[in-house]
Amino acid sequence: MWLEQGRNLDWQTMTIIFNILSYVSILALVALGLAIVFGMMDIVNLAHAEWVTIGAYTLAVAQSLGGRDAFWVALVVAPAVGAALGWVLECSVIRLLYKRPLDTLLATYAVSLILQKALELVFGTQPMLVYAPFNGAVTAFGATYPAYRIFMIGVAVAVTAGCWLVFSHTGFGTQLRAVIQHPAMAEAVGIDTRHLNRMAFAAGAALASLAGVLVAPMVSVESHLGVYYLGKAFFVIVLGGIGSIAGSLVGSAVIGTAETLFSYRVDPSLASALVLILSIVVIRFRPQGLIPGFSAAHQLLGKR
Amino acid sequence: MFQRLKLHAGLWVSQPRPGSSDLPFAVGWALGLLLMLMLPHCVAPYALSTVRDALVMGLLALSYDLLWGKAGVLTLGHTTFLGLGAYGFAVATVHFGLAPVSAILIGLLCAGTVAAVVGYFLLYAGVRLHFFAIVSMAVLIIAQQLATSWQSVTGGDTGILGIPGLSATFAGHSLDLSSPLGSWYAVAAVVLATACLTWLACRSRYGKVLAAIATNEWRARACGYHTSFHLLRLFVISALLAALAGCLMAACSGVVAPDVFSPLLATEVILWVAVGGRGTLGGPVIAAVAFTLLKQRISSYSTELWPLLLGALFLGCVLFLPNGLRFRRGVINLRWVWRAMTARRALPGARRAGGGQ
Repeated sequence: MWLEQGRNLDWQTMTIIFNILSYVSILALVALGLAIVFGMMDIVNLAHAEWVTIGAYTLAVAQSLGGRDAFWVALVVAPAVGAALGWVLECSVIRLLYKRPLDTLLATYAVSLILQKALELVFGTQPMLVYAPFNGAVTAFGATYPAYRIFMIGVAVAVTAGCWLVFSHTGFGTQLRAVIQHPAMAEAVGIDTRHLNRMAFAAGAALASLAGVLVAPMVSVESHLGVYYLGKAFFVIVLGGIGSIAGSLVGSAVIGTAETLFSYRVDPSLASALVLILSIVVIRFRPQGLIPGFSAAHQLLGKR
Repeated sequence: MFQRLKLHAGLWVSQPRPGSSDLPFAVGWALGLLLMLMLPHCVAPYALSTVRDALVMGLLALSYDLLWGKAGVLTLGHTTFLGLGAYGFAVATVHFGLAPVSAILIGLLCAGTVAAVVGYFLLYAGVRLHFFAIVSMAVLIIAQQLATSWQSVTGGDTGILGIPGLSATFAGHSLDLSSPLGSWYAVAAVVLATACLTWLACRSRYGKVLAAIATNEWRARACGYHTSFHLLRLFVISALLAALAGCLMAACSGVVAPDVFSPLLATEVILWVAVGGRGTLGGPVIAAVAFTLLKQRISSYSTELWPLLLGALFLGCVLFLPNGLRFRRGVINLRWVWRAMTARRALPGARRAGGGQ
């Protein structure tokens, strides 16, 4: 009987851990692009959430055309679409505002509003139909868990690890870090910061779109799907530290774990509010973030 | 001790001598007063109530202009305090049956407390610029979620209905302001009084300190001003004004729904101040009234069109009008054009005079 109870408890804990992992992995994917763009260009991209929505809508369109298995196509196409649209946004709007960083915040806010309403106009306000590519459950570590969620965690972990490898072990990553650390100096040693910024912006958009595809089968796909993740992603980067991959990972781990655990006890919105209060209190005592990025200028005062 | 306090207070609120730079505001304010008295005789009661609702938004714009225009604190969630004021007023009157005057105090207290707590933790930690903006936006999103899901208090998606209008009982005399005419006078008087007070405050030494903080906070701190404290105080005052607008809105329209927390309204507030001109006090109020009336006009054709148009306007404003439409600069430009034209007319003579050398 003791054994039975122990196994039961173990099963519950494992389910909770899997829930936390799946939330954290999505949050990390969304926050990663945001943090890198913020670190490099000093731009808060408020339209980032819309790229999550664009990813989810791409999946919905692909599945309405090609049936359920079009998920695999969308998994590749959606980041490409997201990157292309991000590139367009960078070229058309953000390029004009490099000298006025605070205005980019307002401009991307406007873009997010336009995109959200444009999606509503084109696709209507009702939720879109999206299916997971496979059903069923897998038993892992003594817990039975939906197979799709485990797949999602796997993809997110792989992509994040890939980002980290690129960031820390390639020449391209070194250049990125140089731009984050000191843009003027990076330019002086011959790095094309404009081009690099554009690449990073598109890559961030692609990551957000990928997150959108992955999360779409588990939530209702509406035009304001992304906004929910955006608020959390901001806390992740403010809490975690700017411009560091480790910071945004730790931040998403803290926020995701806290929120999942809270929502076992109280109403989900109340859980969000509690996490918000918690992070505001933490910011008061550790304004530079849990793991500060490698840029001294990016403290909470912003760059001057 | 008392003498010293009085001296300090006198120093803070002391006004410079009136000069020609005060003329635009004084004239605008007098025009506003004239409009408040004249408008009820010119338009129908329904149109009057539409303008009144727009004027409440003008008060909101004024409170945001104080924060963003005068002290340079950008927030994306200023309507949190509008909503808190409105919900505070609604809950106090409908659920607890309080008189409107004490309900307004409750609404102000709610918004003021939240602003003080959030502001203390963020502003004292040195959170500024982008970070303050995005955290305030997250506060707004969460307030919206709470307003929708906490059904027993906020009434969920439908909100709270049947909020009584404004009325006051004072020393045995009761004053009913719930009719269209009465509420118009109440709202217009509050807006005019607030505009006058904020103008006086910004004109005094305190306004100079705020301007110093907005231009360069490090330098202002080096001059010995506790900038975080000043910003926190201004943040709370601005939140209180927004909450007052929320109370008036709830009392005038009779309903409060989670819409007040929508990011759309928060966007509009920024647009009003950006178009009206940051820091001009009068401009944002006019812009708020004009845009709210325009919004109602457009929404009667299509509800989808307005948000799209709003986004486009907003983008255009940020890209091409970073300082807003400035009436004063417009006048200066006109003068320039006039001078250029007259100068061109005078040119032939000048050339002849030059040729004589």
